[in-house]
Amino acid sequence: MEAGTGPLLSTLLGLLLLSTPGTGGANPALVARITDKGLEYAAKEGLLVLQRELQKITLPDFTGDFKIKHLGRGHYEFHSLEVQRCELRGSSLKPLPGQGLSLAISDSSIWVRGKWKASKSFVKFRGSFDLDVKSITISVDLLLGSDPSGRPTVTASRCSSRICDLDVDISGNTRWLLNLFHNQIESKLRKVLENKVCELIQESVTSDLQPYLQTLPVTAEIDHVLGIDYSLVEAPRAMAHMLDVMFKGEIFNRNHRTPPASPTPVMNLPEDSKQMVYFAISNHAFNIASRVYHQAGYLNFSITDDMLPPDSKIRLNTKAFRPFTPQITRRYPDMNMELRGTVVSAPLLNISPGNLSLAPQMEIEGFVLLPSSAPESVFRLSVVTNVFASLTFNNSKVTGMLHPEKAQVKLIDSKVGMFNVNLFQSFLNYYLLNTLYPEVNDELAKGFPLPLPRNIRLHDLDLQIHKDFLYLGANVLYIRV
Amino acid sequence: MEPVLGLLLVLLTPAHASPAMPEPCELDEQGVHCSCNFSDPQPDWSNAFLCAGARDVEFYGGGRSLEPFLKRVDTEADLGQFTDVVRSLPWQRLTVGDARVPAPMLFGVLRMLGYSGLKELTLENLEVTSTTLPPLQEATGPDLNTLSLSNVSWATEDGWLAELQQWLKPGLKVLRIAQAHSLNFSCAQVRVFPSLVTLDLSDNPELGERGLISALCQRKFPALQVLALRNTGMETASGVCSVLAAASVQLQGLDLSHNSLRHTASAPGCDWPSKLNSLNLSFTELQQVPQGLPTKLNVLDLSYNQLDSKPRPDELPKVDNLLLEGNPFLEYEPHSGKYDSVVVTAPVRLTLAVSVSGTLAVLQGAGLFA
Repeated sequence: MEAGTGPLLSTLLGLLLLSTPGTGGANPALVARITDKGLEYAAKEGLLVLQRELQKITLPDFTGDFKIKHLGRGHYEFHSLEVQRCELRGSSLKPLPGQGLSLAISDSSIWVRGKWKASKSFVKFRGSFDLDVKSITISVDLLLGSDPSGRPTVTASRCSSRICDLDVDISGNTRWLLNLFHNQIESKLRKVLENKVCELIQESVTSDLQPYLQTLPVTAEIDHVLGIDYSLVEAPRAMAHMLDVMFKGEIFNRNHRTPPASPTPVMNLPEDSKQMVYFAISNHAFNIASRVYHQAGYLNFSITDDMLPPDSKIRLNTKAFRPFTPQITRRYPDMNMELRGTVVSAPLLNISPGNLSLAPQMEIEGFVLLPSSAPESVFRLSVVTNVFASLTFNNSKVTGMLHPEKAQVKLIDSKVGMFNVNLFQSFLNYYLLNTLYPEVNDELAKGFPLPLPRNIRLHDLDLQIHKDFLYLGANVLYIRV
Repeated sequence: MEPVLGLLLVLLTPAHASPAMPEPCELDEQGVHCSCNFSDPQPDWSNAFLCAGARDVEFYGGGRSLEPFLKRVDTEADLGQFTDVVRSLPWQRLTVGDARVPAPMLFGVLRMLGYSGLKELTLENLEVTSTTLPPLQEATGPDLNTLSLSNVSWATEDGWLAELQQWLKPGLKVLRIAQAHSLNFSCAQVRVFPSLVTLDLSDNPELGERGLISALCQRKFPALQVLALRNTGMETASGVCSVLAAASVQLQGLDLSHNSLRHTASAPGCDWPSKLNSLNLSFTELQQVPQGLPTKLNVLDLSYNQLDSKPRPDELPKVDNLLLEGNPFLEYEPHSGKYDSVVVTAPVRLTLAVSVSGTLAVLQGAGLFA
């Protein structure tokens, strides 16, 4: 079976893992919760694939000798058995607490067609026959875990299948052949089929499902600097009606990875089950990201005269700064300036029901660029603003956008006399709202990707904001290749 | 960083000015007073940004027409975030002059200034061309205390005050109109000036008593206290009195100085406004005290006239402060120039000078700023 033809029991089964002791003790920053509905969908999709695979079952020939009253001995052959069609109808995929999942298929049928040959002495008969194998039930346990690299694993165990009913229609309709079939072939055929089904399942789990699960990213790229670590923290928990998968969810600097300063707190997930899957993202994930952005210098800015358009008449020099500091030219007649903005500390995302907010505190320091010595600091301002964040959940990425409010500016210190703070505040707000925030939003629009295996699309997205975490619900669509 | 727009919503043009040319704008050391004279053929408009932090601002257009800029600016545009910048401008006094301005641009600027804290606006030597639709909302202009117009012509001619008024907030206290091209207001369209205390029509030599009737729209100036009519071609004090009576204008102070007043032999009795308590008849070439003055006054200024004899008590109303300085008779009787100890400068109430400096007031009294 080719790996590309789609896994057996695919889609959300892709999130099922063999539980082995992982990095015990750490809490995940991202939890994916698969509900009954999700498992139901997975089973449905999986069944379609299984159906296709079952049609490829090869069945052996049945040959033997017969001995019939009045006819004596002869040789029979039931050969060229081919599965015509397969219909798997009833399925249920349920969590198996402590182990993984249990899949049960019922009320299913297989249609087989074949040819028969019978010969006695030099008399040969031949014909074709149709088999209607009904009421097939299959049950298999899928054990979930994770390997040392944090990748998911799955093995099938305890597979059993049973055929309850079998209808045969032999051409010619000869009684003796029918009896022959029922006495000598039927039970053998049943056993063969039952074994073949389980064999098929075992093989598919190893060669299709397992590789499919491995398409879940362990690290995903956000941009050329940042990545996110999605390795599994521990074995997934199977509970009465849902399965929780625990991802580390740690954003890191790809050039310079340091362990996060503080551990992730536990998230208490609500009992929602309207949708197929829910992703809980701890605000800790954002705060780690914020720290990383901060340390990588993303949150600082510097404005110098050469950054203004060359044909702009307004420059960044002491003469142009007089409206804010009229007396600056007394000491620095006509020199270029630099404004350096730093975020005082990494802004923390405050997630509370209804809104997400950040309160970054910035300092802007003004420097005069002296011709022959180091820049001299001439004033310092503190800038405080409330920023509200909105998140959109776009297909497979979470993207954010900041909606800033007006910044409040206060003068900390001026070495050049009077400072027109209100006027500066209004120009700063104009710059922030028209240039800086749009640039930040462009950065946030890159989003960070959710851990999903291949060919999965999310829709019906629903975002809830809880205390300390975001809860994103979605329904799943598996794109059949 | 987006370039900050200069004043008047004018877009910045690439630099044509050579660096050696002096800049059009100057800001004083304290950053309080800023003055711009855009008299060069191609001035550096963006230099106006220098005035963003000043309190007292002047913009002179060098006599040019601003019509070409109208194409580049959408005067109806929603100012959006720019309003915050305007709000933060510390401008208190603005003077705009020496230009030909299309009305939409002028009123667009007034609309923008509505977001600022501007208190005094002076328009000098402007030619306002064309006309424009009234604002969508009333009173979108600045909340001015004082509005001064000097040599401003309007395309709407007689209807200009009514048109301009739509853009002003109703709190105007002082209105000065000098060298007007028309004071023949279409009174029906003029709205009430509920807070106007001082109306100064000085320096309109052609006005005369007849012109004054058309200017003093009835019932439009309910709070008026001071009327200044210096150099307005008035002929007789009693003539002015009848105009005031016809217009039913209440006054406390009337300034008729710098008019050539005639003496009328028989002046018909006229009811002066009942609250009138200050009358300035200085520099009016009076040879004798006119007849028909109010019977009782707090201040009567007859200084710098041609009185050749000291006025007799029966010629005068009952006056608390009588000013007679600068009259010829004082040369003969140097000690009777003062009935009470009074200060020679004109009463502060009638001094409508901008500057606080006392010298300016004296110079004005001496007619140097007629």
